[in-house]
Amino acid sequence: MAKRNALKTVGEDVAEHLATPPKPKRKQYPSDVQTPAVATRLPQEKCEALASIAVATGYTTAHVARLILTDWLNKHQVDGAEEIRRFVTSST
Amino acid sequence: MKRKTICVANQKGGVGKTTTAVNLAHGLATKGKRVLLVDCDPQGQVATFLGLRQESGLFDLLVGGRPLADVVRSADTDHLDRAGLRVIPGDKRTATAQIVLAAEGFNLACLSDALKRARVDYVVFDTSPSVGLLQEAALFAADWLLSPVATDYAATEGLAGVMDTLKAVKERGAKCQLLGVVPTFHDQVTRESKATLEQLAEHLGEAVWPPIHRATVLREATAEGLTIFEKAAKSRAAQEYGELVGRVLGYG
Repeated sequence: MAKRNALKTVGEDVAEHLATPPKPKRKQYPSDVQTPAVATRLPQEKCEALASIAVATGYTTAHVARLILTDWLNKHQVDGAEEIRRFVTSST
Repeated sequence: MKRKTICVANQKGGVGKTTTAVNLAHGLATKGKRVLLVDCDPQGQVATFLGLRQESGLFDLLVGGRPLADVVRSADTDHLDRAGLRVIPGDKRTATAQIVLAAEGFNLACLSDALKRARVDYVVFDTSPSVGLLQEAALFAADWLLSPVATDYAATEGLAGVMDTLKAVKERGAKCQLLGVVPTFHDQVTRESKATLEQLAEHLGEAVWPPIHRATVLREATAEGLTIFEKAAKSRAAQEYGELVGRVLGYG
C-alpha cells in the first residue's frame, strides 16, 4: 500500500513536469496524390470492374484496393509512385 | 538546431544511468549529431564505459578554471571512430569539486555557464545517484530529464528523489522538463519486473518509455569499453537503445 501511495505521488509530480510529446510526423506524399484520395478519384466503373474480377478470384478487399492503386499508378506518371507502391504492398 | 541538454538522473544507484547516458550519447552521434557527454559522477564511469581513461575534466573545468576546449576529449579510441561524440570525463576529484563549489558559495548555473560555448547539438549529463550540488546544477542546465528506473520493488525511491530535486531547481528558475522514465533491467519472466512495469505504466502513464530488457550483452559491452551499438548492433538491447535515441530525436 505504501508503495502504491508513493507511486501515486510520483505520478502526480511526473504529470506536472512532463515534456509535451512531439506530434507524430505524417507520412509525406506528393501533394497531388494523397493515398486515400486516389481510389476515390478513380472512375467508379473501373473500380467496380476491377473489384468484381478480384473478388471473384478470391482476393480480399485489401488486395482489391491494392490492385486498383497499382493499376492506376502504372498508368500515371507520379512522383513518389514507388513509395506509394511499397506502402500499399506492406499494408496488404 | 538549438542545442538540447539532457540530464540522465535517478537518485538510486544501479539503475542503468551510465549505460543509458553512454548509449544515448553515442546513439545520437551515430545519427550525425554532435554530442558532448559530461560525467558528473565521481565514480568516473563514463570514461570506463567508453574504454577511455578517467580524468579530472569536470573538476578542472569548474574548479581549476581551465577552458572548455582543454577538458573536452574525443571519444575515439585506438580502434574505434566515434565521430561526433566528445566527452568531459570525470574521476574521484569530481567529488572534491562539489565540496569546493559549496565552500565558495555554490552557483546553480555553474555547469550551464561553463558549457555555454559548447558547439554541439546535444549535451548529455550522467549524474551520481546521490543528492548533490552537481546533480542540481545538471538539472538546472538541462532542458530535459531522462530517468532510468530499474523494474524492481524499489523502483520509485530514486525517481521520487530526483523529482523532488527537479521541483526544487525549477523553483529557482530551471526550465527542465521530464522527458521520460525508462524502465531498465526489465525481465519479462519475473513477476517482480512485470508487476513493477505495470504499476509504472498505471501511475506514470505516457511518461513511461518502452523498457530496456536485462541483457548480458549490455554488461559485456561495459566490461569491454564499448557501447551497445559497437558490441552487438543487431541485439535486442541495441534495438531498444536505438528506439530510445529515436524518441529523443523526435522531440527535436
